[in-house]
Amino acid sequence: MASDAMVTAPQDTETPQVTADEATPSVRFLEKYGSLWTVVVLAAVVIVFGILSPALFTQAGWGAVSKATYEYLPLAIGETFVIITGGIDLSVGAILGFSCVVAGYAMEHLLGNATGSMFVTVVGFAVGIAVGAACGVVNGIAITKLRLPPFIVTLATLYALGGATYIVSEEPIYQIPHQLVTFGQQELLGGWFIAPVLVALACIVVFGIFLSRSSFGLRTYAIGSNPITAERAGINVSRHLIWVYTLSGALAGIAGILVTSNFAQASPLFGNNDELPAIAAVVIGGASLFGGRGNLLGTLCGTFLIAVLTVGLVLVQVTSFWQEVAIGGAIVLAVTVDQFLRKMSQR
Amino acid sequence: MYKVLRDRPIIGRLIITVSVLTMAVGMTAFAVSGGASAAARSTNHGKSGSITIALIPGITSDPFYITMENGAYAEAKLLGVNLVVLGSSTAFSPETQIPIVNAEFARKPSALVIAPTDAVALYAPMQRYSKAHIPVISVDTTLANTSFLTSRITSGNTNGGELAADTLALLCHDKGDVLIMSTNAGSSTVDDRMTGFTAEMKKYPGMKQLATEFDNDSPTQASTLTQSAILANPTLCGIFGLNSASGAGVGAGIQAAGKKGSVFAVGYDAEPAEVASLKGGVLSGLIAQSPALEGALGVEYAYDAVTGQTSLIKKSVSLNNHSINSTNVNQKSTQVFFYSATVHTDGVKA
Repeated sequence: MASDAMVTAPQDTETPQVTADEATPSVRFLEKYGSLWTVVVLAAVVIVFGILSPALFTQAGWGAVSKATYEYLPLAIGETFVIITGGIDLSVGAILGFSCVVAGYAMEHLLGNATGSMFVTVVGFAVGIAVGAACGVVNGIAITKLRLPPFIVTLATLYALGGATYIVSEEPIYQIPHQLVTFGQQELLGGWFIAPVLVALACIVVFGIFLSRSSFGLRTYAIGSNPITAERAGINVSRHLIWVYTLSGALAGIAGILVTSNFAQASPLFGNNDELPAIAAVVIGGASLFGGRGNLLGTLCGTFLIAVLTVGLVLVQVTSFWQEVAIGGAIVLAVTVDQFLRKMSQR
Repeated sequence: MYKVLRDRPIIGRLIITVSVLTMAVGMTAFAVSGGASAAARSTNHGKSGSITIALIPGITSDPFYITMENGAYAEAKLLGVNLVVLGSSTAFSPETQIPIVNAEFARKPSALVIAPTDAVALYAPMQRYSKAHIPVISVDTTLANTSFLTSRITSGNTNGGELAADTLALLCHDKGDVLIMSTNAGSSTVDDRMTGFTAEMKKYPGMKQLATEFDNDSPTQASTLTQSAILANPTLCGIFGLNSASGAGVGAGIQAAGKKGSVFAVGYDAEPAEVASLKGGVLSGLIAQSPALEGALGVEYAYDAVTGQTSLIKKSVSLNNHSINSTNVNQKSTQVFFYSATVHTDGVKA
């Protein structure tokens, strides 16, 4: 993908052949914003569905779209970090389900016969995030210390955690604090938002700045561009990768507790197959599975694109078979156009 | 294409790319809207055309719900109302159903008929309809808190479990071991069937109920578990497959273990494949529900609620189940209980 010499300056890795001296202003524009064409596609899809069914632009329409994103946004954020390093995390959905039932189990036992407790609510959040992070640590250690491919490791944890989830609880756990459910379902800001959506959007902003502005983010891009040069440049690649998978796990834990709060239960069914929309959102958002490239604005647009397709196809009364067809089409379109733009700017 | 673009200035390339992109999006949208008329299961029968009833089954690819849809379409045609059927085709889960319920709310149908996939998670999304003065009727499954529902219609699941226990006792001559092959616990229908079966089985002192197996709604898994159970329990006489997937798997497992005729399987529902298995002797009994009647009654009550004829609506309806076995499977009176695997939006039964 990128030349080795460019590793320490990852913002330039996308277009190694063109230096600033020879590029015309229009080429530079394309280089800088070309990967953000997902914004244009999202806008186009919103407009098309908005014309077919103006109900998309009502409060209920926005409510349906936003509520279809909060579960996938944290997963897709973690997946973006992982994919930028050139890895993949197939276990995010399984981690979501596992951390969700473990947190549910903890809350059920702490609550006893009580129906609510602020303390238990906070503990539920902490347990969910901690369990998710712990699963991520396991992924990271297996990948770096055992030197196994991320695909294999996270495929294994996907299966193992899927089973472990049912060992913790075969049935949904309903005995959770009412404060948590209030948090998950209460409509805010005049009914336009629910708290889980705001939390997910806050995550995007915080981690977006973290990825693009911090040295952690810089190292993430460097490793994805070329792990060997990154190592030679003084980056502790193993330690950094463990952190990245831990972050992905912790975010899956956050998603788990958000789903629990909104659905008023911790169910072993949750998170099943969630890795697919998460990876799709990241890829539609312009990230490269070979690493070194991707950003959270693209991931945000990718997630919303999938949500708008899901809701929009219901609004125009298309059966759900078409949803999957449309998302598949969006992935192919995203990658094709992205490569096309890239080739053009590399002339 | 690249060659053409290479000879042009960058702005020209940008314009071409954007126009190609716009065309692609336009074509996708066209395909989608074209798909709408072809694939959306909706009807418009004119007469009371301003009434649109939304039916959201648990999953749209299952013969039980397809039969329910057909019953609903037939009734919608009779009443002259529009019927829209929406739902996930891939999963019976609140995670896939809730986005659809939320999206349909933006369209503000006249009434909602729904089979909630979870007794608690669907409460808030369904109550939102009720708050907007849209009548909500539950079919098949229901909510834990039913206070705002206009009506709830189901086929008695406890009764179905009891019927299955009686059928197995009859086949086993009141002695031997039995077990339940369950999907996954959590939904009201599944729990009720297990409760009914277990309670009724206690009436037969010669019979012992073994620990319930869970197959996660996978026939292959049910088949494997059945073969293991047969190996582990030489006195096993019968298995109750809690739903169609479990029943199909149990039948396949008994056949694979070479125990056809000595271990009996009773399945739930009357899907085409299950009926064929019963006729072929792989299954020994079926407990058929009344999905078509559930769908039809749901639409009828929705219509009554919208047109203000609330006195015609019963708050809670529990329909009867029907036991199908090798002796009555070929009778005409039994065949009305068979499910359908194809949708008939015109309300005509094949």
